[in-house]
Amino acid sequence: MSWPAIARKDFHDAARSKALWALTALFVLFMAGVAYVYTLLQSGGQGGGELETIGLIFFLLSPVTLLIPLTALVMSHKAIAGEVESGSAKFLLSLPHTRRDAIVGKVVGRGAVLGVSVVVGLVVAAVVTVALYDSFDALAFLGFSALTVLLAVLYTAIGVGLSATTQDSGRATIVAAAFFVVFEVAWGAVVSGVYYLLNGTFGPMSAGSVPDWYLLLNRVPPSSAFTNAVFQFLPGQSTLVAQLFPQNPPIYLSKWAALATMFAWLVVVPALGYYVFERADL
Amino acid sequence: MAAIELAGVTKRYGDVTALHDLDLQVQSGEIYGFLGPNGAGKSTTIDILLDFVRPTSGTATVLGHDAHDESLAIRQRIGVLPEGFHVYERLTARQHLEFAIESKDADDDVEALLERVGIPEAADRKAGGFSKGMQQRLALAIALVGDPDLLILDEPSTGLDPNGAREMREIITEEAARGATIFFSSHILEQVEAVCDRVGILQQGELVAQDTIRGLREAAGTGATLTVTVKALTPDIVEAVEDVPGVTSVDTDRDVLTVSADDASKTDILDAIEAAGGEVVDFATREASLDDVFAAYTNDRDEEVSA
Repeated sequence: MSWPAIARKDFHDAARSKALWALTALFVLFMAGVAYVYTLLQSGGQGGGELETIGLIFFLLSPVTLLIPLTALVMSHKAIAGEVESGSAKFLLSLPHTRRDAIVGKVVGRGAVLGVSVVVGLVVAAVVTVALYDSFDALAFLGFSALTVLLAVLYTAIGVGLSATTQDSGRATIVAAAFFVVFEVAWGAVVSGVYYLLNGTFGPMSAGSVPDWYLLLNRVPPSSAFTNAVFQFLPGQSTLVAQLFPQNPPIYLSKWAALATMFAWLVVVPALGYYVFERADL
Repeated sequence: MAAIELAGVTKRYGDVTALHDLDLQVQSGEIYGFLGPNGAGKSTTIDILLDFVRPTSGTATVLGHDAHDESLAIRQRIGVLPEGFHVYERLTARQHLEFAIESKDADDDVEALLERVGIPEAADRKAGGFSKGMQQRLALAIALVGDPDLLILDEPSTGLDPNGAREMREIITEEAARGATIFFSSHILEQVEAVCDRVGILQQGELVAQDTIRGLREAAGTGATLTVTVKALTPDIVEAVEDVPGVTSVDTDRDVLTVSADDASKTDILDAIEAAGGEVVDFATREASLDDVFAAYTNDRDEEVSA
């Protein structure tokens, strides 16, 4: 269990590379910027609509699910492949570290870099909200922040895990891009394709005829699990699931299932990467 | 006890056989030179010891531990200077060493280590800006962390100037004096000759020779060469020298005799010349260098292959 040493080294490395500072600046500008822009939209559009934290969170949701996966993958997709390709893995693995420690250490180190940047951005956004908004729902904002940090860390874990499946950093980039395209861009098409094969149409005709598996499949991608977790944990948003199941949704469509899906991603892809990396000749 | 033991190790990459049924033992406490031309399989052998690469068949044992199943226990007790490594460009020399010290749970002094490898002034500089020689010295310092029982050095003098190579040899000797076993690969024969107790020669994935330097010389039949200049060379003199026990060949060029001998004494040869009426003007002896030994082995093999 020597991953803390690797995580610390990786964190120092990133801090020195200015990646930490660049990311922090990015998230501060983004989160605080959106929080401010939202005040302009609200006062401009409806003329005196209530400026509420929940509104901001749902306004943030869509850009967050684009920005965080992208920055996390960019930062982590060469974590293992790059080290093996360059030869610094020869240092790392000639010291008493297992390959599992290398993967866990990288996930923790780089997850911490991204996590710190995101937290700083969220704190500044919270300050803007407290200053400019009519009310500040601390609990909702905290919940949203926790899920956002989890999304950042799980996408870092995905990037590191994918990176462990290859020893060529060019191929690592392709694998990470393919993952993003399949799960974040084209997933809707995948689900529609499955529906077409089963029913001959590309989607349910009415809300009443939506099968459970269709809802479930739509919740599989990491960002989708995150979005559903935010919707279902925070009050005030009426999701399709909530409309269909006014009492209690089945367990696999519950908020806890969404959270569990996020944790599953955090573990499954690094485990897959470990499986390949452990058997590889370096 | 053997510090390193390879038994019947074969490694194939697809159709290419990098190592073929390799048996090799390095005794505890010795300095073992692992020689061979580039591509002979030296680095593959070392990669197997470090569990970077798994053998197709055969077993590798290091310090009594299985190289694959107990790799962590091995790497806790060895120091490695890898070949073709790459430093962490943004980390300083100090951070590299602190990482190695933390990883091995050791308590070495960073300054002392850098002093020992000759780059104390570079402690707080980023390793990305180091010359190849400085990177090599840093890598050696990392290998020395935790007073390892076994040092595995892959082409340790890469990138070092002659002075640096000499300092490297001094450190190797010091470490051996401390009781460490040293296993180092090289294609530079002088390096090996100067410090090694024993040498193994790897050629096309097979160990073609393993002995002391002296033993190798004898086994390869390339003993000493004696060059004698006489005042007037006669066939009698040549005959007399050829009759001296231990002489393997005699070549003549005008008044110069070139005598190859396994273990014939210099005095016997000179006596024989004078007894046959020759007057010795000048003589010189030359011991076979490891180069000659190496060439003898590697050429032999080439002939076998082409035959």
